Amino acid sequence: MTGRLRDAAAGWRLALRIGRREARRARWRSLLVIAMIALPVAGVTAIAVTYKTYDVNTVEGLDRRLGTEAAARVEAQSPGAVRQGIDPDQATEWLEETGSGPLDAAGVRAIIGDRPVLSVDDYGLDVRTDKGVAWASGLRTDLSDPLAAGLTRLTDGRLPQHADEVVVNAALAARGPGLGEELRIPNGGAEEVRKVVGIVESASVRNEAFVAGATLPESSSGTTSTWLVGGAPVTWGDVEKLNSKGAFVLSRSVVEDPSAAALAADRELRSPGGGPDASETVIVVLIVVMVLLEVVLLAGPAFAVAARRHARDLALIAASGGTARQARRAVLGMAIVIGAVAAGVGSVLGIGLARLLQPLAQDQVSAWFGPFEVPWLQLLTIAVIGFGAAICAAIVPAWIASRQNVVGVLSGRRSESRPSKHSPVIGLVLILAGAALSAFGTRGAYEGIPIALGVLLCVAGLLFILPVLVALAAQFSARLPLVVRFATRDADRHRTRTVPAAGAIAVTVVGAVTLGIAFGSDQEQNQATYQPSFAYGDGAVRVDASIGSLGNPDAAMWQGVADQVAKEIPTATIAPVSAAVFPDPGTYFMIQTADGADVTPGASNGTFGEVLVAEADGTLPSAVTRVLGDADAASAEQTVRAGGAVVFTDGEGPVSKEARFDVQKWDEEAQSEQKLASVTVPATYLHVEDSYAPAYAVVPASVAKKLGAEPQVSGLYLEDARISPAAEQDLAEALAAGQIPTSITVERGFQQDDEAVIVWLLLITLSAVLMIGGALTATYLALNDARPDLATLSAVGAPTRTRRGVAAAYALVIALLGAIPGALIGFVPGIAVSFPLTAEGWPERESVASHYLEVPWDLVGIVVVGLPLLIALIVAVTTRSRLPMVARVE
Amino acid sequence: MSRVHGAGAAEVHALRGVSLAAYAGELVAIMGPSGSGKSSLLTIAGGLDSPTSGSVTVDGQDLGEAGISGRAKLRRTSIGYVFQDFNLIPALTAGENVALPLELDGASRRQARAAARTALEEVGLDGFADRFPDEMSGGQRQRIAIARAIVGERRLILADEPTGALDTETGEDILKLIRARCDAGAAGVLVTHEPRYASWADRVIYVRDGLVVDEAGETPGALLVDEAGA
Repeated sequence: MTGRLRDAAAGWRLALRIGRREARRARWRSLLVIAMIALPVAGVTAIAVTYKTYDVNTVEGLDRRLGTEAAARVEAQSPGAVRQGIDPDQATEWLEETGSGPLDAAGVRAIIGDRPVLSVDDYGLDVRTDKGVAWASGLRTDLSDPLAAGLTRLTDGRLPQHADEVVVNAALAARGPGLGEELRIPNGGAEEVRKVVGIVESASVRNEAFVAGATLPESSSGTTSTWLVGGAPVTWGDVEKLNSKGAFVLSRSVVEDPSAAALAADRELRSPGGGPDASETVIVVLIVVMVLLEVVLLAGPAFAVAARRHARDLALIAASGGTARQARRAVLGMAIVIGAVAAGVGSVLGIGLARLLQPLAQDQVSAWFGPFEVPWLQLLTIAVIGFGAAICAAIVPAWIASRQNVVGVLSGRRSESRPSKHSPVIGLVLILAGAALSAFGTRGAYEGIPIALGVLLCVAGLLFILPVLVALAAQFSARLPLVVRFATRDADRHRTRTVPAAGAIAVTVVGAVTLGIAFGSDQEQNQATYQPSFAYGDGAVRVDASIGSLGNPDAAMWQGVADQVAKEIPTATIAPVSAAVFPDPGTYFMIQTADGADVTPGASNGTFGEVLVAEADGTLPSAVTRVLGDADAASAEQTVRAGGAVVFTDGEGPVSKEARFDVQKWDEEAQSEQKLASVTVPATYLHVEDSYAPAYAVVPASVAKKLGAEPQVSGLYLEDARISPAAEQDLAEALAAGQIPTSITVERGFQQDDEAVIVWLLLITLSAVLMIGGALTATYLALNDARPDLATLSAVGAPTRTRRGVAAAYALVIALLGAIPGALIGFVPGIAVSFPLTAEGWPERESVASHYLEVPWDLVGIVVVGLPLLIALIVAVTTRSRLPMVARVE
Repeated sequence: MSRVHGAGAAEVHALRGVSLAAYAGELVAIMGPSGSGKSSLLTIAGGLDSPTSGSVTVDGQDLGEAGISGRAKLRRTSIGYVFQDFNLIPALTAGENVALPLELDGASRRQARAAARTALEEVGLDGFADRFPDEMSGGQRQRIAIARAIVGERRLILADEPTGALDTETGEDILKLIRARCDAGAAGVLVTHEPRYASWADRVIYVRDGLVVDEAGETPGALLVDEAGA
């Protein structure tokens, strides 16, 4: 047994030695393969390291939550008992409610002994900035207390010492309230003012606005009672005692050195649902397989060329008694050497890259990174996958090398065999299976997993069919110009080199076309189902509810807003819109025909309120007239002048001439509806397509009063508010900070979001990079291989530009051989995925189709025609035109 | 003409003032040991390399003055090359290989194919036009190479050890073809180290260390026998 092992080791030793020498001899080719494998390895490694560094575990995050001095953080949450694991943020359980209130500071001291205790409160609050009002992260505590050490780091000024002093971070200071200035905090209707005495960096918040001080206003949602506790370590026993009183505890000593009991509780309470679900796993596996396939296919041609260059040596070895296995190992040996170097280089490069780019990555996220950390096990896995890619890329060439026709090779005869007759059949079967799976997936079964697997099968099938396509192309090239004929035939003669290169391009194109169709269809659906809020080009100004109610703004205040808007958008016609407002916010109403049929439209944007009130002279609000035809508007206005109502409905037009408004309220004590008022008036019913109803109804002021509601200005309607999005943004910030905080919306119709454009550009760029990479690699390998032929061309008098022509033709042939079948195959999963992606959603409406399909022909055109031509051009421009000399070739 | 490779200590004199003429209808054989400069002479004569000093004239045209593209044009139209290892392009059929110079020169496909067929007939390979080189024997491949060298109206045929990779009988056949072409009016230069093939030539020139050391006229065979015996 040991003897056999020794033999095997000896066999591999020889193979590795040959591999090392071959790799060194063909230095540029080896470097090319190393780069192809090392770059993706480096990329993934950098991402893994950055994520590990970004991901802060409980131990690493202790100082952010406790500062540097506190022994524990106690959070009294429940009047009853609770249970927790080591970190209360990750494992908790609420037990029975006992009814008594949560603990207070004295209660905490009573349990864990008389220790220093500091109240801390983390919450969000609004602060005024130069532009308007912004959300900030607040920390309400006494930063000068020794227990607060480490929660913030002072970079300028000093810590607050008086009640009206606060510190802010650089992110907030940059937006207005700087050192020595006032910080205004809207609180209810009023504003509180604090003085900024220092600039700090928070241990937990980055980039986002942050403010800290002992007297920040209380959170609107009520403060939780949280304390930092000093003194001796807080033990698991203390934690359990506090838990029994409804408080959660983050204890430094428990986190750093958990007892067996703590670990047991942690295991029991930690939520099990943390792992990824099946579809996520499948998607990740799919991505890994595709990337691996791409790398294998890109590196494959280089090994094919190496094996072919090596063919004579291998044939000589075979002629002198070498076995097929030895021939295989000689090629695999090179893959092992190159793969190992590439994996190592990639890992080191990736770690370096992550370290180098850490400041850049840190800028992109709001949480602080943890200490620089290298996840060795993950990196090892990534490196092994990279190494495996090299081996996979060499398997086919090695297998072919071991089966080559020794006599043929030694006598210089054709060594590439005809493509297998079985492979196209296998390919077709795989593609059909992939198509069937995709078709099955159109119904949205199993969260798209069948479609994902369908893509894999289709791609695999394509790889089986490609050799036949290459051979067919060569057969049909007889009538093509010399350089194209030469390139196509040569591509066919070296199929082991051509097929993986074309395959890499095909895989890229399949991905691009699939994603393109999916994305295009999604956009198509968004566009088709887009609902405008107002007539195109019009806009609205409303009270910004997110800033909080400031009571009822009066007409004069609205006039101020209107003036402000008019100054910025002089072209707009501005009119206030009144709505019926009930004094009791719990009130709601229903609109029915006189005989009790419900007529409320399924969708109303209700920008200005559910029931609008016409002007005293019966004029309808412009928000309504702008979307009505002249005839409708006239009859509607007539009805309102006569004391009737205009009711919008998307049902079959009711024949009723009257409408009944019922005002109701839910009576908590009686547990039943309570009818407050009911008014029946003459009505004009206006049928609105599902797209848009400006409100449920428009009534005259008299009817609103009968219903118990007050007509009140609820916003401004802007006709022809055509301003740029940037101007709208500026105006929005100015309005948000106005006397009545208001927001503005301008209807521009469906807008392609930036994200869509970015995704589009990314798709094209990525396809271009991979296609150009694949085609260039294959082309230069082919040119290198074809040196004797090029020398012959030169000897028989080929003009110098011939070499360029041949190179461009090589690139074109390889790119087209990959792009055309790739695009065709890409349609299968692309169309399939558009079904579940654009399936009818909510609300269900008549005009919404059940499926949208948009083939992005521009993308397909770019990928199938544009990029191959571009690649040919690049090759033509970058290739040396000089032909090699016969005498120097051998 | 002279040809010097490299400079300084690495300077190699491949040819030192060689003067040689080959006339229409004449076959000249060049003999000499390896490294004597035979092949350098041929590559310079074919315009694949340029002399360091001196000049080469083909059909009245100075190769140095013709420039790179002019020399390429001459190789497509006036000069035919035959190499020891055939140098056929494996991706092209026999017919396409023969038609290559004409196609490169911009002739129509039909014209080029017709001329190729004629040349293939001349070398006895009619019917082989659609075969690929690696489906043929060595002798057949060399005939294809000769057909490529004579296709069109070539006035000068340069053959560098055309029989080197062939058996004696096949080699004789190849020489017959070259001889026939010269008899039909072309000038031929043959590099060989086999006296039996050199005997097909009208004149034999003996080269050593980049110099012409001897030249045999009407009856080269006798001289070669002497040489071989010496």
